[in-house]
Amino acid sequence: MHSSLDDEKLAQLARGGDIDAFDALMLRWERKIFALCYGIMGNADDAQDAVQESFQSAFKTIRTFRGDSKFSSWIHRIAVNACITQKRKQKRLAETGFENLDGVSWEPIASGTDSNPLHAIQGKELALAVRSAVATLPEEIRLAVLLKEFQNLTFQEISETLQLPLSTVKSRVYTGFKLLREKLGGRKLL
Amino acid sequence: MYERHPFEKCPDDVRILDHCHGELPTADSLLVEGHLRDCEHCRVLSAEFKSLSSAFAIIREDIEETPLRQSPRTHGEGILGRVLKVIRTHATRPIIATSVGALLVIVIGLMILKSGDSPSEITSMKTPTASPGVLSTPQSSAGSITPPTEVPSDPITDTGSANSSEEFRLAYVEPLPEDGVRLTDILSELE
Repeated sequence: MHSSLDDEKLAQLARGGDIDAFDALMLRWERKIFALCYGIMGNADDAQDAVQESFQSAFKTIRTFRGDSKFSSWIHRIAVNACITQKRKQKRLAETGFENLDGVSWEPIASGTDSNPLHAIQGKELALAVRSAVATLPEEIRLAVLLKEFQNLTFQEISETLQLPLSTVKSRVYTGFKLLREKLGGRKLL
Repeated sequence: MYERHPFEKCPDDVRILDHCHGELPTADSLLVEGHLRDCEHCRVLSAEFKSLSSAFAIIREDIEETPLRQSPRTHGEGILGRVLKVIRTHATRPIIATSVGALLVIVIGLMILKSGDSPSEITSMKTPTASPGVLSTPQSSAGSITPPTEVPSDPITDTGSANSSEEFRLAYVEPLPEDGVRLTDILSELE
C-alpha cells in the first residue's frame, strides 16, 4: 500500500507515528543515500554507518518536516550533516581517496546504444580516473558535484539542500568540473 | 587552442554547464545550441562536461548496484534492520521513562514519610571528632611531602603503641640523616 504513495505523503504518515510508512521511505532512499554517503566518506563501511545515522536522525526529526521543501532536499540535508558529523568525529582530512568497491566487477560496461567495446573500456578507465580526481577536490566543491552527479539533483534542489544561494551552487559545480578537467590533464575526455 | 565563434560572444562557461545538464529554459537552450554549432571552443567544452557526467553515471551505477555488506560491526544486520531496531526502542522509551519516573516518585515519597517519623536521627548528626591516635601534622622539612598522621588504635598491638609512636616520630619527625645515624641515637648512647 505504501509503495504507491509519494515521498511527501509517506512523510506525513510517518510524522503521525506510522513506522511502516517510514520504513517504506527508508527502502526507497537507502541506495541513493548510500551512494551520496559513499561519495563523501570514500568507503563502504563509513558510508553504511552514515546512512544508518541519517535515517535514525530522520526518524527523530520527522516531526519537524513540514512539507515546505521537497522530502528529497530534506533527507539529503540530513545525510550531508550526518556525513560531516561523522567525518569530524573521525578527524579525517577532507582529501580521502575512494577505495575500490568490494565485489564490484569492473568489466567493461556496454551501454545499450553503443556496442563498441573500445568505448566501454574507455568509459571505465575514465570513470576510474574521475573517481580518483574527485577525491582530491575541496570538500565543499566535492559535495556540490556529488549532489549534482550522484543524486541528479537540480541546482535549485542542491541550493535547498545545502541552504546556499543558487549562484553559489552553480559556481561550485562549475569549479568542480573545471578542476576535474585540469586534474585529468592529458587524458582525453572526448 | 580551439577556435571561438567567428562573431558571437561566447556564453559563460556556467551557462554551457547548465545547458549540458538540461537546466536552461528552452529558448536559452536553443540559443546555446546554435552557438555551439559554430564555436569549436564551446563545443569542445560542452563535450568535455558531458563526458565527465557520463563517467559519474558509471560510478553511480556501480555504487548503486553494490550489495550493501553485512558489516561484522553490526553482527550481520542490514542497515534498515538496525535502524528499525533503534526506532522501535525509541518508541518504547516514553513508556519506560514514565514507569521509572513514577517509581522514583513513590520511593522518594516513602523516604520523606519515613524521615518525618524520626527527626532525631537527622539532628544527631554531628561533625566527626578526631579519633584516638591521631597525631597532629608534624612539621616536615620544606619541600618534603607530609605523610598521613593517623595512627589507628589497635587493641592487640596497643602495648607497643608507645614504641610505634616513637618509631613514627623518628621516621617522620626526625628523618634519617645521610650518614644513617640519628642525633637521638647518639644522645641515647651517651646516656
